[in-house]
Amino acid sequence: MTDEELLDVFGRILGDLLSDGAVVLTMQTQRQDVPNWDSFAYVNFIVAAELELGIKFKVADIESFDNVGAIVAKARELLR
Amino acid sequence: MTWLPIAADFRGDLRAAAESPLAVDRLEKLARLSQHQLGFLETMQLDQALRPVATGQRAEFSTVKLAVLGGATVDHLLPAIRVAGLRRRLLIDIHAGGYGQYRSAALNADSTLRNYAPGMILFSLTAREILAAVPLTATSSEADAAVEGYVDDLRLLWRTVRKDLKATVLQQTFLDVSEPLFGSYDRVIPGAPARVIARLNDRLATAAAEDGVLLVDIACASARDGLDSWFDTVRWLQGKLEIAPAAAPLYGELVARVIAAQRGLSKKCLVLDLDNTLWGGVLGDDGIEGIVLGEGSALGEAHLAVQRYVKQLKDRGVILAVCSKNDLATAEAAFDRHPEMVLRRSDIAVFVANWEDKAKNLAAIARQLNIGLDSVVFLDDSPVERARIREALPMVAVPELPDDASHYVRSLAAAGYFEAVSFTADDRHRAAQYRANAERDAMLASSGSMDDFLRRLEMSVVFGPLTSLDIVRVTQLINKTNQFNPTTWRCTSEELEAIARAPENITLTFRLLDRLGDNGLVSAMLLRAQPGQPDILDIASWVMSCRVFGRQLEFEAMTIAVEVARRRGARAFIANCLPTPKNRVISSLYPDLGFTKVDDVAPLAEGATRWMLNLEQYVAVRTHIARKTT
Amino acid sequence: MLFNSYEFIFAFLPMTLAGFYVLGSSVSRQWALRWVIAASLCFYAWWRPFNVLLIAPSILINFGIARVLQRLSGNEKQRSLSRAALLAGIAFNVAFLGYFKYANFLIDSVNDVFGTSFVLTHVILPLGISFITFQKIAFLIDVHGGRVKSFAFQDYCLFVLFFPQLIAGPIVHYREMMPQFHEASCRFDKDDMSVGVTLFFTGLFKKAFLADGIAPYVTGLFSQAAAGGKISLLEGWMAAIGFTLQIYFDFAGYSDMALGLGRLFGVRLPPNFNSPLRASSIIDFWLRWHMTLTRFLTAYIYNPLVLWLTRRRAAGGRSGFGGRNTSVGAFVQLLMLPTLLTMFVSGLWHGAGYLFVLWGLIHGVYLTINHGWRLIALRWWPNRHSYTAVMGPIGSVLTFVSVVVAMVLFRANTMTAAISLLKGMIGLNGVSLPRPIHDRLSLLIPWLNSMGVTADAVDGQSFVFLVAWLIVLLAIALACPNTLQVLAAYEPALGVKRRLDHAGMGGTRIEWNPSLVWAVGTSVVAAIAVLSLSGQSEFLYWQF
Repeated sequence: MTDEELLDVFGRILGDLLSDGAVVLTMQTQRQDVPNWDSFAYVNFIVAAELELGIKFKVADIESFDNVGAIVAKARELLR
Repeated sequence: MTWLPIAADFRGDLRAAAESPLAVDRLEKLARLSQHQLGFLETMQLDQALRPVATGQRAEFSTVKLAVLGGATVDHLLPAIRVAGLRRRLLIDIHAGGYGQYRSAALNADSTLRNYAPGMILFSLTAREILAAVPLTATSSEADAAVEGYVDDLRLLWRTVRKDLKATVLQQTFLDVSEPLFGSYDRVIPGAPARVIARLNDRLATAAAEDGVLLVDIACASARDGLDSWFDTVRWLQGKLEIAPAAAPLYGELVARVIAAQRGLSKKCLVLDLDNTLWGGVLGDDGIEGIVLGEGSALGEAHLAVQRYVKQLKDRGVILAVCSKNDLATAEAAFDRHPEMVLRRSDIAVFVANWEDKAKNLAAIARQLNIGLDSVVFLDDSPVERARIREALPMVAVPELPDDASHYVRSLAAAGYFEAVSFTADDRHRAAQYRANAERDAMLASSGSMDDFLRRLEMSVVFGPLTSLDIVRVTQLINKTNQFNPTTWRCTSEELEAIARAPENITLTFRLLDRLGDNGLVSAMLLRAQPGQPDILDIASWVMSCRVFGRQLEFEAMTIAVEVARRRGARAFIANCLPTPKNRVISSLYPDLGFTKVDDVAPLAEGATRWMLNLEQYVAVRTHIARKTT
Repeated sequence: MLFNSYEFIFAFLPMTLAGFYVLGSSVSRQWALRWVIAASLCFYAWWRPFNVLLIAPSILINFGIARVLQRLSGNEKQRSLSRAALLAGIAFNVAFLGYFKYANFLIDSVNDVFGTSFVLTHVILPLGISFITFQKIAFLIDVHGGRVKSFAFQDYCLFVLFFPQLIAGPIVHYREMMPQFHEASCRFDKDDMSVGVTLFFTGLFKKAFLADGIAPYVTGLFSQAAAGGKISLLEGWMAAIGFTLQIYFDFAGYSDMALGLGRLFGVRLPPNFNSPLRASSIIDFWLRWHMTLTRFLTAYIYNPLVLWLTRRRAAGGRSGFGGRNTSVGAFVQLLMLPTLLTMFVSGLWHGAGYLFVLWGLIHGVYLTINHGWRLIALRWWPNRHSYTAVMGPIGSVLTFVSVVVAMVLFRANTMTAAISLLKGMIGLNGVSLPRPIHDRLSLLIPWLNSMGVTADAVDGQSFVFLVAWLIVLLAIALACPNTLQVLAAYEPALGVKRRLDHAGMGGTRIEWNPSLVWAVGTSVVAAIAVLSLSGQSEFLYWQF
């Protein structure tokens, strides 16, 4: 999957979770930039992303994601 | 959740539902959408669309107030419970307790839980507390004592909430997320976590049965599905989620099933297709010798397993019916003559085999059994037939079956249509009762007139006050009966006990016997004394099973009630009648019995009527039912 | 036509709505929608009927290209042909925009650089061309990407011409608008009417009374600077903040009006403005100011560019951007350059002039600094809680100041005027008070003089009024809940709903509902707004 597609997928998942239509994410977007992306929504987001892409993030990784770009990079790595 | 079909266009349907202007229409569309396989994300989305319209009373939906008290994080499970409730036409409003604060919430007199006043409380706890209390080196008696102590603590919580809140308690069984220490030897060591948790769940089951608490058995589900589908270490470490979010939809199902069962909403009847469902091959083409059934082939074994499971369901109280596109004589002959058939013709309450549309047949079956189509499950291997019934009769449950017959039993069982919270003698004998009913119908057909038929039945009624033996059955009756139920008043067994114990009230149960058999406890009446006016009794609840409609039992029951009441010194009865879509049959019940309408009092609800009977003026109607005291 | 004009409010709008409702309920929905298209054309042609002739070919050509893309989309073999068609379409639109908007600028720049003196005949700028162009480009990209699968000519016309968003946004996606039109009842709906009217008049109030109220004072100071006058410290800051507030309420008002007008037709437009001066960082600011433009630039310029650059770096074996270990090279290539480029485009889009481009670049620098700070800050300050508690307020103030300073460039007519104002704001022109006020502070005069505060010839009365306006407008912008928050329960904009269990957009206790109290309040606001219309008004965003 390309990075654009991953950004699209993540944007769609986040939009579905926050019932916000389509959220536009950049690689630099941080959680605090998106309204209502609180810790509860974050857990759900990780779960939904894992389910959709068929991957599993490590617990240390989840804690270390500073921005969406980091999540995209890790997802690319796991999908290889 | 493989027994549910996959939605063709989830997003489109969800959008259509969410944009519908009328709340009722939106609710219907969402309920329809909930009948499909939903993943974790879809469940959340559906729940979000549901939240705005799930408030307030809605005509075709019942509301439930559920409090979930958790020992770990439970917030991610709530949407799934709501969606699963919607699947059963329940609008479940949920109040979640604070993280780990279940004890103080339950025991504290002024907690938010008290203010919420839930009708049901679910305790969702983890095994970590008990494991902390039992060291590895504990002896068998020490371990047992610790488990006992913990269970007693729980029982205290149960009793407190039941007494103070009059709520039904649901207790979740404990997931074993521990890792083996010895290996296979863990099972032998009393202090090993696996053994402690097994013992705990065991004691829990006994305690729950004794205290009338309902179990939500996720331990069993996780054993079947594999712990990894139910427990995700990363989620636990990330946010103390004991139950994995991926398992949330199934968890919601389990909880909603128990809640629905307690309210009498479980399915009652299983309608079976024959060809390629109960046996392999097509009877019409292959003949009785040619159908594949029985030992000797894998396919035959598979269908045999289906029959065995279905038979056990029958033994458990599920009504069986057959609806097949076949020639009636041939089909019945297969039941009688095929040596490997596990199911016999006598196991089937209604046997329909013709070439007509199955939807029509299903409706006829439901009518004959006097149950609603929403109590019917339809098992058919053909996707075409399944789709047809889902479209024509959306209230009938149609499980999705895999291609391989080996998995039919699993699909049917996993769907949990017949979830039960009790197992009474009536359940055990239900098949026999329905068979007797069939004979009664035959007799009716051969009788000259209704009067003649009733006379030939030689009916007698056994009546008496409500005893502790009958509590379970009567609670079931009160909660399940929709047709002969003027007030549609529901209760828990605790409430019923309280009413029965009060000396100023009169409770009556009626058992109908006839020449062909015992119909069982088919009617109950609760007469409550009015505060301040002990000689006027209010008919708080009067239910009668639809099986015995048209036998004049209502007249006899009223005559008995009047006599008992007069002996007690009562002077009058008052009764409320709240019409619902289902109890139209009894719209003229009270006038027929000689009650007069009371107009000068404000009605309880829209369309409700109030009736009064002066006991002195009661004229007993002669019935064909004789009396027998307990 | 402008929204803040008598002919719009008392003639055009009632007639269009009446026709819409009547046609919708007694003839057919299709005719009601056609009526809206016709009305939008009238709206567009009002200023200069010739504009329609300019815009028509663009619409037709775009529609044609979109049809070609539709046929080619999804077909793997014709991917390159599809891409070529898309690029042709984008190039056409950019050229169209470029010609009408930037031809003069280009000629002037070439003249300046090469010392030539080309002259171009006066190019007439069609109204709202920047918005229309971006919207059409987004549409072509969506069709190419298969996100829009089917569209009729009538739908396309309605999408491009719908008058509430025709002149100055929000930039709407096709798939946000058309499904709503497909399901609209095209009949009178009292909820839509009450919410729409409230939004429209609140917006009008902000524009006609608030923005236009402070405008004269601000204009006065900027003209002074342009004429060569020296602006002192206080006045400089007052001018800058004043202009920021003026354009704030201008745009806020316009956005509300657009939302309201859309709602009158039963359509929810996406939100475009969300109390940007309360932003805690410049990144946050751009997610609140002109939200749909940020969305457009991010999705269609920034993201593709960053992803392409990241892949090129990865192919060359170099590291990507992310986390604490970002190399300087990655930072420059993957963040700084794309950000600067995107904001350059943004500045250029806002206006054909050096100052606009400079304004855009400065915001690009701000954003780069913001992102860079985020990368290193937590290394030195690991405790997230205390960091947010301390840096939150500091960030908000910093953001406010940065925005205000950059706005000077946005507004100033010439570079010299801008520099003069900025110099004044740093204090190079000294601090002074208007003479009448200076004299009145008799007791403090010696102390003030010793601090360097002199008296000048600025009119005392306008000084006081300006201060009053600043205080009032700042209070509204910083402390009051905004329109989206107050009307959240009625979904004033697409996707803006009252959160049931989350904290929500800063949670507000003031909630609008269609009751008598609110109706009276809205009427008062509307009356003030309409009565303020007679004054001269600068609608800053309409020249785009």
